[in-house]
Amino acid sequence: MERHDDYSALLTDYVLGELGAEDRRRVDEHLAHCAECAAQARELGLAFQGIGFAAEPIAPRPELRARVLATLSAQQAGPSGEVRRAAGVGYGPLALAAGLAALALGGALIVSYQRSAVLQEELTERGRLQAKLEKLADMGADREDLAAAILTAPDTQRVDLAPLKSSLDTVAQAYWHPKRGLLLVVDRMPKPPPGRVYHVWLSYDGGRPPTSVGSIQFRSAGRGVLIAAVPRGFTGGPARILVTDEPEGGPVGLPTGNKYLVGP
Amino acid sequence: MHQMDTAAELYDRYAAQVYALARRIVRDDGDAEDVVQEVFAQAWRTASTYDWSRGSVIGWLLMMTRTRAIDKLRSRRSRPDGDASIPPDSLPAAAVPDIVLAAEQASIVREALLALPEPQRTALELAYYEGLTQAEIAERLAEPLGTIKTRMRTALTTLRARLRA
Repeated sequence: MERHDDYSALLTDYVLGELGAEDRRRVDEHLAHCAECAAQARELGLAFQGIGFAAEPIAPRPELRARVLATLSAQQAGPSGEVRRAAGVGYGPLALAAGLAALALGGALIVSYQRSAVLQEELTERGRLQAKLEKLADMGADREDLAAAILTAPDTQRVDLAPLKSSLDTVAQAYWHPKRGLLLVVDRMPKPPPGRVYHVWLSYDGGRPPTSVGSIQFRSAGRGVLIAAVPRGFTGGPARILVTDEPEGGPVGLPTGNKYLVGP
Repeated sequence: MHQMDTAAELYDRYAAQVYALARRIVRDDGDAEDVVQEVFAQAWRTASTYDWSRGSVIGWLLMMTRTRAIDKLRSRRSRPDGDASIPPDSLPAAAVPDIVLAAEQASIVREALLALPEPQRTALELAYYEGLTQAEIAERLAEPLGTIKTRMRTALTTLRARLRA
C-alpha cells in the first residue's frame, strides 16, 4: 500500500509521461480522491505545457495554408459539429476574448477571470493603474488582465487603422472601450526615426487637441502592443485614433511628428 | 461553407504558434510544415472528443505539436538534414491581434525561462524540445538521476510560480 508521499514523489514522472501504464493508472486513481496531489499535478502539467508558448509566432508561407485547408476539406465534414469554440462564441474580437478566457481556464498563462474582476475594481482608480501600466517592469500581468477586460466587454468597439503612407504595409487594429481603455496591436511597423518612438493619440473633430495615450511597446521587430486605461480626465468618445512618432521621452503636449496610422 | 470558414479561422488564429513550436523542435522548415499539417488534420478529426474544460484550444494544439514534432525528430535521426529554410510570411490581417498578443505572451514565457537557474532551464528544455526522459537527461549530462528529478520538479514549480505572478 503506497503512502500519499509516494504518490507525490511520482508526480513529475507522471506529468512528463514517464510512468508505465500500471503506475499511471494508480496515480490517476490517487488523483481522483486527493485534491492536494491533483492540484500539484495540474500545476506541474501547466508549467510544462507552458514551455510550448515560448516560441515566437512565425507565419508560415501561404502554400502551407492552402495545403492544410485542402486536407481538412478532404476530410469531409470534419468532426461531428465543427471545432467546438471556447465559451460558445465565434471568431473575431469576442472570440479573442473567449480565447484569452480559455487561456485563463487552461491556466497556461497569466490571465485569470478572478484577477480580472479584482483589476476591474481597481480600474476605477485610473491614475494608479495608468502609473502601473507605464512601468515596464509591471507590464506582464497587469497588461494581460487589462487586455482581457477590454476584449471581454460587450460594448468594445473594434477600429481598424490604416497607414497614411502608401509605402507602409503595416497592419493595425485597436479595441476601444470608453471605460476600460484601449488595446492596440500593430504588425510590420517600420523602425521609427532615431531618437523617436511611436505614440498613440485620441483625436477629435472640431479643433479640440488630441489626447495622449501612450507609446507602443515593441518586443520584436515590427510587432507592438499598447494596452492602456482610459486617459485621466478623458470624456466622450474619440473621433479617431492616431499614431505618430514622438521624441523618446514622450511627447510634450501636442503631436509633433509624422503621422503613420489613423482609424477609422 | 460554414465549416470551412471555421477551419480557415482555426488555421489563421493558431498556425503561427504551431509552426513556430514545430520549427523550434525539428529545426527544419519542410518538416515543420509537415507537422503543422498533421496537427491541424488531427485537431480537425478529434475536436469533438476533446474535453474543453481541461484547457484551451491553443494548449491542446501545442501539446499535439510537440508530440508530432518529436516523433518527426526521432524518425529523421538517421536521415541527413532537411530542406533549405523557407522564408516565413507576414501575418494574415485577421489574425493580427491574436498573434501579436501571442508574441507578447511568448516573450513573457521566455523571460520566465531565462530567469531559471541554467541547470534547471537546460533540464526542462531537453525534456520539452528533445523529448528526453529524465533518465536520458541524467545520462546526457552525466548527473545522478535523483538530481535530475529534483531539478525538474523544482524547475516546473518555479516556472509555474513565475508565470502566475
